[in-house]
Amino acid sequence: MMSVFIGRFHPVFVHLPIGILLFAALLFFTSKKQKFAAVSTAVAPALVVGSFFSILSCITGYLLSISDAYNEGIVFKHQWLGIATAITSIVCYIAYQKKFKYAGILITLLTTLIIITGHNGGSLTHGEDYLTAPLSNSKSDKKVIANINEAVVYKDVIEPILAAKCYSCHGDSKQKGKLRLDLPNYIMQGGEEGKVLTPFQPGSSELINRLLLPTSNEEHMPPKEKPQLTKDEVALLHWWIESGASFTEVVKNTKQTAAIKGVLAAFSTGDATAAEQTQLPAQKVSAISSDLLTELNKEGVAVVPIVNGSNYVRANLIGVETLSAQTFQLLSKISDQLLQLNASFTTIKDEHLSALSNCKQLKQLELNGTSITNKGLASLAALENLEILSITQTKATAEGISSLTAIKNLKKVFLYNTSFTSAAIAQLKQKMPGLLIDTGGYKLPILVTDTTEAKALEIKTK
Amino acid sequence: MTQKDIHNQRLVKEAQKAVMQQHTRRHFIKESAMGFGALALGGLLGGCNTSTSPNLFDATNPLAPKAPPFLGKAKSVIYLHMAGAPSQLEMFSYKPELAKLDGLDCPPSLLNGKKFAFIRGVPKMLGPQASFKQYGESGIWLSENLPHLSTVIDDVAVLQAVTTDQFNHAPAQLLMHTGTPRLGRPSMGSWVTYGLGSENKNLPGFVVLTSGGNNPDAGKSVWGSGFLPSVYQGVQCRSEGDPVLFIKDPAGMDRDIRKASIDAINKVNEESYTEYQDPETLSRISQYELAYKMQISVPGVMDISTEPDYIHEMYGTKPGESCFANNVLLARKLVEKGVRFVQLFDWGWDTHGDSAGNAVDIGLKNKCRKIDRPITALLQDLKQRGLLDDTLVVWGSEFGRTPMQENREGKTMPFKGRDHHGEAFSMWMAGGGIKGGTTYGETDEIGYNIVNGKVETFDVQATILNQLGFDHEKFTYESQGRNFRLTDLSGKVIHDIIA
Repeated sequence: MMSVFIGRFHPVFVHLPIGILLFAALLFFTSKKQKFAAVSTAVAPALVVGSFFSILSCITGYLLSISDAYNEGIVFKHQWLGIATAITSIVCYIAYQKKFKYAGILITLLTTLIIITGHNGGSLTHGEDYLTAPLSNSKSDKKVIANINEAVVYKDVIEPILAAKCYSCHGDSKQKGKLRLDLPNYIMQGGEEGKVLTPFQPGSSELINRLLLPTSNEEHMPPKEKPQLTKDEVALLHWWIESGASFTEVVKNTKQTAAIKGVLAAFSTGDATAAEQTQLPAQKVSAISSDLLTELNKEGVAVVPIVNGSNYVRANLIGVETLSAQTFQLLSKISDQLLQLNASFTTIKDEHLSALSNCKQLKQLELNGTSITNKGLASLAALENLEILSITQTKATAEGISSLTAIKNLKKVFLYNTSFTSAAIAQLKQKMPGLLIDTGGYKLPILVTDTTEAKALEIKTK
Repeated sequence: MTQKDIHNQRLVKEAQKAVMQQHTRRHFIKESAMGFGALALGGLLGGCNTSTSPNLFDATNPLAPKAPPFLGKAKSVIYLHMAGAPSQLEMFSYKPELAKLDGLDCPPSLLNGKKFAFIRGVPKMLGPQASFKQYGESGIWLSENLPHLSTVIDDVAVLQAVTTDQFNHAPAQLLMHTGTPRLGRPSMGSWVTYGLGSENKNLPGFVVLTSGGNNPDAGKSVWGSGFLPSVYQGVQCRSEGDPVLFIKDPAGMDRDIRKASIDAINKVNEESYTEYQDPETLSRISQYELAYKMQISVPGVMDISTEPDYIHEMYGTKPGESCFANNVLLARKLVEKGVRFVQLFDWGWDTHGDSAGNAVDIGLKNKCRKIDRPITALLQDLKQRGLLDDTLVVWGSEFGRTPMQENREGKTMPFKGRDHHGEAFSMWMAGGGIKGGTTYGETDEIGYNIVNGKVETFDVQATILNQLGFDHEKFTYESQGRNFRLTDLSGKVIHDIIA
């Protein structure tokens, strides 16, 4: 145990030879210049002290390497390069004292060795991509899963979490507590304290318990100075173990609570850049001609790209003074580019909607407060990409259901203040189980506090 | 002038000439080398502001809708500002430990080196003047003062550790809305309308509504346009009487005469433009046209009396009155019609304890009563209309209040009140791509200092811009030779509350 204790001094000692020997090299080269010749007296002592600590580092380093599990490949390289550095530093000292002609070359070699050995050491403690990770585009690392239901739980959801938060100590380069979490068989095998997870029982799985301990507890994982798992990530791991810790199961075959559903849904949107990738259709379209844009603007249609630089657009009809067949003829000319259309509170009529049926890309359609009826809804069936439909405050009724179910990709529908009966809603829910339906009509209860005013209990005197 | 003086003058001139002659081209280049080097280095390294946004101002159509730089979740914002600073300790910040300290002298550790607006000497601690419970699936703690909001708390993300370095109302309000405690910068709403324009050409893009009897302390500068073109400043509408002053045609002038006169003015302006080519003239022409259109569109959208009774019941609105509830309902109507940024200010939250109306156990309860129902109704109403996903609702103030009872001039106050406290206070956001049912940030057990999850005013601004599709670091406007941003040189998007 004493050897382990001494070994742990390696990080303390290791920085001394790096600094001192590099400083010696600096002194050596500056002393070549006449102006700084005086510093040459410091080169030899610096080399001696540096060599002493490099030997000490080699000894402590060796003791550390046998006490804990590290990536053997890197340890091997680091160990021998370290020894080479120590020997070279001694050789440098002797060569310098003997005024050897090529001492400069030896010192250059020493500098190179220090840098490489130091980098290897850094890779051992912080992980191999620690240095270069900030340079690689970290945003693209966050994977977006277009269809989360078809995703494999372990590969697409769990593995990325383990890779980001656990691999640096329990992976290929380091195996703290003899535990590896980078491959299924290692995960099931556990570490020196036994198994880390019991399928179906997250409560008795060490993997979860350690995450849930307060950070002040020494057993808490990851150690408090390392990046912690977010609440959502812990929830996902919990859910994975609860559903059997399978390495092949797909998301849709698992049981999901509302909270997990929410977290999973975030996967398909991701952050802002990710959202763009999923919300914009993959295929490229040509830009709307400027003549057509001018014509649309003259008509009063506000057309604006969904996002800067994209040819896909959103249109709002609120500024159109007299909505006519002409307006929709113009709109059908931008059918390839039209992603969102807001026609709420306009005089849009059922027959106009049929003119929209070739807008295959349309994702969001707002028709709130218009006079459209079921007849108009029927012509929306062709909109195979439509995801969000708002038809609040319209004349749509229960019979409109068949039109809604015909819209295959519909995800959200807003039916507030329409004549949809609760039976019809139930039927719609049954036919389209994934559909979010908001029928509104929320009411706030009248509370006593709404009508009573708080008053001073007694007249206070100063 | 004596002979000697003339002689001396000549000598000086000759010496100067000699110096200039010796100063050869070689000298000049040698002396300039450092400068050239620095210039080259500057070019090589690039400025700290390498990517700035181009000027988006188009004088002919300043409010034309524009695309955001990246795909934002929100299309519009409703910002509810409680001017005067409500007490977080009676609303969102549950501090049971503070109750135990009620009435005890404040320990010196909390007072050393601190400066308060009114507290002098050693104040007493003041326990929470409201009871708290957990609500919703998320189990967020809320006080009894917000009974309605508690029913929709799973749609709300509460920021528990917002901080500001200003402890007076006006500069703190300016900091929150313009990014600096001093006058002269554009407000958040101005930035947003400048960047995104408006989809409804008949309404202003940025509307301001005030209630509570007073304008906010910082005055109209909190919705001013600063160095942005003035067309982006907030248009203050009134919920009582004419929504915009002089919006009605004067007696004896009908719509046709008005149209004819505006046409005539615009014709003169057009002639002026052909002669001088000043883009501001085009801007003026479009403003006249907008004003003419607003005469029709504004009274319609600002009239809440046409709303059905159940909506009035839901919001607790009374048509014809000037109150916060009416403004909240108006905000929904405006957003529904495509207004980009609606800014509400409600005055009267400065609960110092100098009167019953300013006591945290009396006046504050009444203020909460007046906002709790309409705000909850707003969230529900936006949701049922399919607008909550696209509309970011922000609730907040300029700062919070102390866990100590105020002792103005060292004397005991007649009522229970709290002093200004900028170190830690609560805000919340909902809709517009915000992850509901979350809390972010934590304060110590008496709500005095931040423990983790600190949110600066700039972070709030950065997050709002992010939800609309802007990178706050790249959204700039050049003024007086420098690129300015709303968040100045700070600001981090609060990713933890984003869905």
